[in-house]
Amino acid sequence: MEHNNHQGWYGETFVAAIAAAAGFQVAVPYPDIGKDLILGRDHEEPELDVQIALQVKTHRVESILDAVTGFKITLSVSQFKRLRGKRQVPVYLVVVLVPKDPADYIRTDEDALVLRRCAYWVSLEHCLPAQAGRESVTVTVPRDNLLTVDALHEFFARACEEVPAP
Amino acid sequence: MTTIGVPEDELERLRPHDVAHYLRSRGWQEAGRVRYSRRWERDWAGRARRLLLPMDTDLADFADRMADLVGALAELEARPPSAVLQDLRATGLDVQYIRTMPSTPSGTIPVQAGVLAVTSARDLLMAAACHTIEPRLVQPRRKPRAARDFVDSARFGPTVPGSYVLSVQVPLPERDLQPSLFGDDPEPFARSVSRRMYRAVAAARTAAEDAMDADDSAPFADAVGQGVSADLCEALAGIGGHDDRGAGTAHAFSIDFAWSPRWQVPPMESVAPFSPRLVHALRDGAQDLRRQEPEPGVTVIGRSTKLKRAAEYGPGEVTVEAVVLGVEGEVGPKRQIHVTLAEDEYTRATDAHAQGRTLKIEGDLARRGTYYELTRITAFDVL
Repeated sequence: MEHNNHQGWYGETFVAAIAAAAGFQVAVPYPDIGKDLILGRDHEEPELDVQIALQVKTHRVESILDAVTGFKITLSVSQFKRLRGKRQVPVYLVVVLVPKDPADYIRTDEDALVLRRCAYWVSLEHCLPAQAGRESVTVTVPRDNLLTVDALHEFFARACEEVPAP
Repeated sequence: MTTIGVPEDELERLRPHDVAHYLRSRGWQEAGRVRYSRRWERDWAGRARRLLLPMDTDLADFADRMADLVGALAELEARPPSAVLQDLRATGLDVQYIRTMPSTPSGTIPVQAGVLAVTSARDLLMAAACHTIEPRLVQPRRKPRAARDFVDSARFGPTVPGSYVLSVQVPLPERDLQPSLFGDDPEPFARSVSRRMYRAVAAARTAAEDAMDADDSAPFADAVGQGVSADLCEALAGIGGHDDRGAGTAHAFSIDFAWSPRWQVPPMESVAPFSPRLVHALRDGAQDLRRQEPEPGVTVIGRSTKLKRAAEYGPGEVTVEAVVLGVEGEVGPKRQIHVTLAEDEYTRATDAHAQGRTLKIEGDLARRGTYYELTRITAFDVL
C-alpha cells in the first residue's frame, strides 16, 4: 500500500481500536463527508442514545518529545468549517502520531498487542470563523488531550448534556 | 451532495416547524429533547422508531442531521429521499400522490391509460370540490364557479419514481403571520376540498368492498354523506384504468395524501390500495348512483295497478304501470312506478282505477333497485 494511504488507514484503525475498547459502535460514513468515523452506543435510554463524530489526521514522528506542548495541524478552510460551531453531533479533531516506518506500527506477542504511538484530540466548537480570504487555518492539538477510553466516555457524557431550548 | 444524495442547500432551507407538522400528521409523537433536537417516536410495523429533528437552524450540522431524518423517513416510508424532501419542502401545498400500478415496467404506463389517469385525476379534484360545495349523488354538468377555480389552481408536480405516480399539488393560501384575534384562521376552501377528497376516497374504497361482499350497490349511496358521488367513483375507476365505455384493462392504484403544515390536520391513516376488482366495483357503483339520481320534471302516463293506504284517510301509495315521456316527447318502455299521493289525489286515483281511466303525473323520477319512484309531484291529472 502507498505509504500515505497506509498511514491514514492505520490511523483510523488505531482510533477505532480505542472506541472498541470503550464499547462504542464505529461507523465509516459513506460517502466521506468530512467525518472519518461516527461513534455511537445504541443505548436503551433514548436520551443517552447519541453519537459523536471524529475527523482523524495522522502525523509521522520519530518519537514523542517531552518539550512539545501541542501539535500544530493545518486545515483547509472547508475542512475547518466542518469542525467548528455548535452541533447536534459533536465533532472532534483527532491527530494520531505514528512511527515513520510502517514496520514499527504494531508489535504483537502473547501478552500484548502494542499499537504505536498515541492520539490527541481537540474540539474546535468555539473557534472563531476563518477570516475572509484565508485558504487554510492552523490549529493546535494540546498535548494534554490524550485520546483514551475515558476521554471517549467523557465525549459521550457531554453529547447528552442539556442545552438551552432553541 | 449529502449522504442521502440530495443537495445540502435544500436540506438547509427546511424549516423545523414544517417538518414537525409533517411528522405529527403521519402519526409521530414528540417524546423529548436531545441537545438541540426534539425526539419523535412512533411504532412502525411493531417496532418502536425514533427520529431526531434539529430545531436550531444555526447548528453547523443542521443539514447533516436533516439528512439523517430524511434518510430514515425515506427508508420507513419506502420512498426515495428526494420524494420525502419534496413533501417537506412543499409546505404551501396539499399533495395527492396517485400511484397507478399498470402491468407495464415500473415507471411506465400505457399511453391510453396514462391519458385516462390524468383526466381522471382532474375529475377527482372536481368531484371533491363540487361535493364540498353541495353533496349530491351526481354532480351537475355545469360546475360551480368555486369548484372550477379550484381545479384551475391545482397542478401536477414532478412524477415520483416507482410504478407510475402522478403528484397533484393543491396550493394553499399564505397564512397571516399575525394570529387571528378570534382563535384559529378558518380553513381555506382548498384544504376543505383535500380533506373531503381523503374522506371520500376512503369511504369509496370501503363502499366498494362492502358492495362486493353484499353483491349490492347500496353501500355507495350510504356513503354520499362522506363525499362519495357518481362523479367521484367514475374518477377513481378512471385512475384504475376503467373508462366510461368499460374499455381498457383495470389496474391497481393507491392514493396517498400529504398535508401542508400551514393548517393542521388530525392524524389520518393511509388509504389501502384499490385492487382491479375494486376498480370494477367502483365503476358499477358509479352507474348505480347515476341511476338513483332523480330525473327532474318527468311526465308518466299509465294505469294504476295497486293502491295502498294505511288508514281511511290521508295520503296513500299508488303503483302505476306507465310509460315515461322524455323532454323531447319520446316515449320510453313501460315501468313500474311508485308514487305517494296526497289525500285528494289518492281519492281521484281510486276513482280512476275503478273506472279504468289513465293517470298523467309529473315529478322527479328515480330508480330504486327493481322499480322506479316518482317524487316531488308537480301535476296530477286523470285522462
